[in-house]
Amino acid sequence: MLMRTPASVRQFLAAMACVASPVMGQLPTTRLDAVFPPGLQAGSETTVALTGLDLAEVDRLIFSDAGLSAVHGEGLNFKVTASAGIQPGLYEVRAAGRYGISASRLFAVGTLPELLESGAHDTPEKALLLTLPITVNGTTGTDAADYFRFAASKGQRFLLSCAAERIDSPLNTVLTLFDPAGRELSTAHRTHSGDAIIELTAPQDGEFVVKIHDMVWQGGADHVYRLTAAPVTVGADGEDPALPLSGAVCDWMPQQPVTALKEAAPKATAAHQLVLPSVVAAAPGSQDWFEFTGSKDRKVMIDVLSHRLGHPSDWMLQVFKITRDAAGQEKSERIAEFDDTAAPAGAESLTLGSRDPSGSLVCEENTVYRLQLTDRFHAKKPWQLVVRDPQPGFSVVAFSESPATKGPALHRWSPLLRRGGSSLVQVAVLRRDGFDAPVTLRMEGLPEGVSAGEVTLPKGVSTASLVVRAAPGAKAWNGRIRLTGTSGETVVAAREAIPRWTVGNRATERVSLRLSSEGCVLAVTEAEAAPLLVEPAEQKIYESSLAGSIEVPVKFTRDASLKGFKGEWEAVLMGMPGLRQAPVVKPAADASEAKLVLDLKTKDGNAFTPGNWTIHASARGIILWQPNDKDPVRELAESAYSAPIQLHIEPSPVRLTGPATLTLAPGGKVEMPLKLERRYGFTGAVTIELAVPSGIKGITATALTAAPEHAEAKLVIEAAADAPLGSHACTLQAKCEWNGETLPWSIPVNLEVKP
Amino acid sequence: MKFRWNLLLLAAAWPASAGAAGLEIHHGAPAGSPGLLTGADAVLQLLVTATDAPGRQSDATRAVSWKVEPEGLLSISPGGRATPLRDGTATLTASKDGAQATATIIVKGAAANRPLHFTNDVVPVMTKYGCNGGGCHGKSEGQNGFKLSLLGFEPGEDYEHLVHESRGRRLFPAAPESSLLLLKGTGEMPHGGGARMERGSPDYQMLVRWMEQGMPKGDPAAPVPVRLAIFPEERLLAPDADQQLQVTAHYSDGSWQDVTTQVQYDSGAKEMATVTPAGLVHTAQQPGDAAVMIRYMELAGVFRVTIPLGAPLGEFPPERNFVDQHVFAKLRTLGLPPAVLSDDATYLRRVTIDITGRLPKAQEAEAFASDPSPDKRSALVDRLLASADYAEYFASKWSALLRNKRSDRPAYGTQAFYSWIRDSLNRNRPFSELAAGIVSASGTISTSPPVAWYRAVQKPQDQMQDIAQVFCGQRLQCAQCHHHPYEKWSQQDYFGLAAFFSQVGRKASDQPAEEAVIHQWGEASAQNPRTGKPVKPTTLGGKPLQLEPQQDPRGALAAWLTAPENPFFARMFANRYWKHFFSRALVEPEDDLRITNPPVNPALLDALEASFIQSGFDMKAFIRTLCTSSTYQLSSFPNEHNATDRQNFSRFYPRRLQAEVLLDAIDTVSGLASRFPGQPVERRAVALPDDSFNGSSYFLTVFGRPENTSACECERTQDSSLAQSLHLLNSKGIQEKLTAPASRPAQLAADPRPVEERIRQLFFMAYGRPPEASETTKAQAYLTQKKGEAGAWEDLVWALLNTKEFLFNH
Repeated sequence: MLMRTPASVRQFLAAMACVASPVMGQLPTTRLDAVFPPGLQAGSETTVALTGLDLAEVDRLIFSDAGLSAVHGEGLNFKVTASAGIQPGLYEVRAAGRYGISASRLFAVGTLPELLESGAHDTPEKALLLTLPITVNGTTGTDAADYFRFAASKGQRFLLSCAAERIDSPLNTVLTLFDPAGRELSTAHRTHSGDAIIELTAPQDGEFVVKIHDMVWQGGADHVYRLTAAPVTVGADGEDPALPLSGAVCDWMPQQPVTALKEAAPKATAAHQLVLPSVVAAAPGSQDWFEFTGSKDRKVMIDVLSHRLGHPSDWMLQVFKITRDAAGQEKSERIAEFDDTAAPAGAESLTLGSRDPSGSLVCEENTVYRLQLTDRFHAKKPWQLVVRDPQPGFSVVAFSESPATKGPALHRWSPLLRRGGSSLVQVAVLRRDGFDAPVTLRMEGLPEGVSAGEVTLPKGVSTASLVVRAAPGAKAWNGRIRLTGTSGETVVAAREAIPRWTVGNRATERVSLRLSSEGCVLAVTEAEAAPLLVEPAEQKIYESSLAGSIEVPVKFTRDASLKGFKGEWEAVLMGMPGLRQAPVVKPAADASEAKLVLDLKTKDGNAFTPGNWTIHASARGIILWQPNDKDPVRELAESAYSAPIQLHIEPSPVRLTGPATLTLAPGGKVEMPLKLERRYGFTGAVTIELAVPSGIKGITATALTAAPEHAEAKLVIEAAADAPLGSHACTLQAKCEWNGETLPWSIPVNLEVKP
Repeated sequence: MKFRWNLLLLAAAWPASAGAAGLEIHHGAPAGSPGLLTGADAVLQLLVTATDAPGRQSDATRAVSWKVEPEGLLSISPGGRATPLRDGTATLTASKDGAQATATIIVKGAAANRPLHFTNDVVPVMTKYGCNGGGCHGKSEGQNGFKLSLLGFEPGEDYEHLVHESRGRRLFPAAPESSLLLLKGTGEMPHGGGARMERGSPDYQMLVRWMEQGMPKGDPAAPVPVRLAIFPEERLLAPDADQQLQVTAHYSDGSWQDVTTQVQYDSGAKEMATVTPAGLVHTAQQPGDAAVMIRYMELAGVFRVTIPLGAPLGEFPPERNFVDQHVFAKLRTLGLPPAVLSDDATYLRRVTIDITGRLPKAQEAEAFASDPSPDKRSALVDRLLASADYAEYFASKWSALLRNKRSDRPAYGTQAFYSWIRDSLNRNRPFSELAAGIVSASGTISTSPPVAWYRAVQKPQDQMQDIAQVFCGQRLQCAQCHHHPYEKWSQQDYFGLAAFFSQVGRKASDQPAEEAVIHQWGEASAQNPRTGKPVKPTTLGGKPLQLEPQQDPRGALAAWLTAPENPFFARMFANRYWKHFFSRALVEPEDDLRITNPPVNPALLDALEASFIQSGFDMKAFIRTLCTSSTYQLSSFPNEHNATDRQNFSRFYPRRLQAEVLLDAIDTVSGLASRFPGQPVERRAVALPDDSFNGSSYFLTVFGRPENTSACECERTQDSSLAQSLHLLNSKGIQEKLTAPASRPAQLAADPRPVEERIRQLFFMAYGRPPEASETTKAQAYLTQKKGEAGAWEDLVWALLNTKEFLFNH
């Protein structure tokens, strides 16, 4: 792409960014779409230009490593220095300014001399001359290609590595190499972790030409790349060690030493022998066999790591139990199949799953267990097999959701709280090895005037939302905060999931997320007030039982900057696990309050769990916003979130109580007095019956039905003459019909049969 | 016809290796075995071949006199059909003009009728008379309540329908002649199909006897026919000549039987040859090749007849490779003299268009014209094949066949697949690898772009049909519902091949709106809907494969497909590419390589196939072979004898430029390139990755660019139409290309060079040749008359674009 002066670059890139964003905007928040150049050589300095949205008054670049520093220059230019001692690799950079602190972008530090593309070099004839070794920083233009040329001698091996996806660029690189006569020698596309690499031995002396373009000829300021052209001195596989793989999100790596295998085992009868626990780096291939001897009741975890290492593979695992019959003949029984690792329910959009199989196996007996592994993509890339003891645990991933991240869009975004404002952070707890305990999520390090309630994920639940809110008097601030998940003594810091680029439509554009090496970030501004606030009308614990409903009145507060709504807006209760469709009301344009009703019926596939829950009310819509009279009214997607709303859900609207122990003699009977506490407006009949442990004969009670509105009942329990003596743990079961659903309630009762 | 048949005697039309003069009797038995007449109803077609002194063979069956010793064992009709009289071993002697031939015939069971077999005896008769044809009782719903399986491929069902259905009213064993079957079949009762057979004919009598025998179904373990032997398989015949055919069915137990009168004959070119139900072929006056298709039960074969022209051959162009050897041998056989070699300019334009889909550049044309090198044509072919233009052009061809259709999806998938094909061609990846890469594609479209094929072709049966058609030239669609009427493929074959795709699974991909393709763990099989039984993966003509659940059956399919022994793979490619360069395939249509659809030059196709296999499926080498042959270099101007030749390649057959090629050519000459959304400025129309550009380009649509919806080459149309002519003559799009400020006419008008030079450049650009003096004069006069204004140049360019010389590759 043609390079321009820094000033024009800034204007051009800003314009491109506006044009390229087809999605609904939101209140101004610093969005960093590109840093150009996207890296530099260790021990050098360069001037970078920023591209993005709402970059007004950006005056700081924040790097994830102290070896990188930046000094603000003119406009959106910064002088960046990399210390001589910094390790080559990828670092994160964020921009901070009037509208807060941006989500991070990756920034590369290399070892080779660097060049910024310059001048028109969009045809072979205009190819930019390179002197190897070198790293060129460039961007592709729409419907155009970039050309470079370099001299090489016959027999010289060289590597052309174009980093794009690995540095958060949406560029889908196609790299083509031409010989001195203009003939194509090689083409590469997504050969290495989404990027293109060519390694070649020069067939002749002369000047070779490299062409770079996007597969579908997309381009723009964010389509940055770093082309490294160098004689081969790195690993024999041609991979560029300076830039790590960019694959599926990987939150876990084995800690054991790795044993490398040279060849795949092609047949079951020649399976590799494993001694548990074991981590092997298997030979690249499409099929392999392993076996180990398991002891009865031992639980083992089996993982494959390949897609999570950035490889385009899709391993599947079959587990066979091997036994021998009386004649010594081997019998093979397929007992398990492990396929993809799914994302936690509720966090599918964060692409936290992978194509790597993962699962647990409880050995049924002392025998051999054989593993058949097949890569269904035939990628023939490196992979690891991990067979180990369970290490239950979890990791936490957070995602700051932009108000405009609805429907098909996925924004690069980090929260900026205006006065009284709020923001939502989605959290996924990735549970490992059967870990199923509750996890409490909380934010630490929040500045004064900013709060976020705790949320406890109960057993089996893996996703939740945290709302972080600024008080009306909160002071300006930006920095890192710590979001943790706590379970017992274990405290795990969340890693932030960041889209590598903003996606306007997930149906047509590729999505790629990575986990930040840093914690989450937050910014607070005093300069503006949040245009819309929503609060519960009353701070209390709202309660009902299953099949009932909870009514939460909410009130709305508007700032003068809110000039109304475009179309309808809505209020909604959110964050309730098991709720398929959040209850929504559409208030009038000038409404100051509304009632939100959470229907606890199981209709429409809802699956509520009794207990205590924390939810939020939210108001959202397209707002007409004008922070001051000088600016035009803008249409923006906006969401406001309330303070936490506490819920308590009972399993039944009837609470049954009675004596814990009753005594009766064989052949005798006893009356059991019962109290029925009716709540939440329930007045209907209740049936009560006694459940006796199986195998106990001779103890009976005639089921009774407590009439509507009755608060007491008596159950007559009889013991036959041959009823077994002793203490019998029975259960009293009550059922009621409410709102078309049958709700049970049970209490234990100990029956002692004595002569 | 300019030359009389007797001139053929002077031509070297007969095979020089023919045997000694004399007669020879054929009776269908294997060599060294006596002929057989078994049963009272047996018929044996005898065939006598005369060979004259130069070795030329002709049918003397109806011209010989027969002698049977001992007498009374059998009788022989004038047409050569022998029928038994009594048991014994007879010596037959055929005599003509002093020449004699003898044969031994054993007559057995002449006194009694053998037990008839429904499948082997009755069903062929119903097929012969068309009872079970697709237009009669063989259609899926039957006809007027009577249903038979199509062409009798399900005899078990036919037996039930004929014998038991409708309370058995169709047959009357007590008085067979009064049965509905015969009364309707002979037209004695009203019959929608009319009278199909004659009362008293051998077939009629056979059906009577079958009913008299109690309508036996026959032994289910009875031998089944496995091979047809046709004699002769091919023959050179004079116009207005006869040739009797003799057809023998060989059975699974090693036995054989004459079925000459039971088979069905169909001439593929009735204007050249007709055939009677008894297998007597008669040639007409038109020279050329014709094939007679012969079908019997599930078997099929052909008899090929060549009718030579017999013109004086003169001097042939040099034979540069085996292509010329086979083509010229055929032309010599036909007595059809080839055209002269084309001139350099014509060859340059022709081969540049055919290999790269573009016109030669003006400087290329000038340089080629002045190049004195004797091997410059070969060097040109090498240069063109080494260029990316070749890969782009042929990638477009394969992209269409492999249904690279955008639909409503993002551009990435089709672009990636096109790029993969293009890269494969550019690297000259062996065709076997390209095909295997598609058949066994797994993974996401990002890292394994051929999985794009599986998104376009979703169902296992469609996948199988496409692969069979694209890479094997086998159209198996018919066999999904019934046995293929013109091939040996049954439903079992169909579903056996489909089973290879039964375990194709899909899962989410990293690209939006795309799916990843995987092998689903499990045993591959497909269900034959007729039998209801599972069918294991089975290659065409192969045995069922036993594959492990983890084995992707497509790997086994790809291995079979691309093995050198595969009888279809290389042949299909050879035929397809031959058509690309010679306008007419050796087998037409090019992807229908049926037994019953023989090539016009079998030896040539065999040699092309062998050459392709020998080269390791080297596509560039194959193209080099074709384009450096003298045959390819022949002029398209006919000589006085070959103007009507359409199948023997005695000259180059001109064809209209393909839609994309023509648009690019117009862009080149007009100087104004078309723009395609989402593609770089320099993108040629021939390098567009998918069909999505058709909608916005009327030009591409009206000139027949395919929509990539099928695996058939026929989707591309190269017919001419009035709409095309009008578009070229006066459409806004063409006018804009001529009148734009940056267009060629404006450039030429402003060019300070002498007008002759500018005219010369324009002619090189459009035609790859300099203008003739008269053309220069006319052009110059017109320009002078119009004062050399841009408008005058627009007219001149417009005129050139609308000439046949420009619109055609010739």
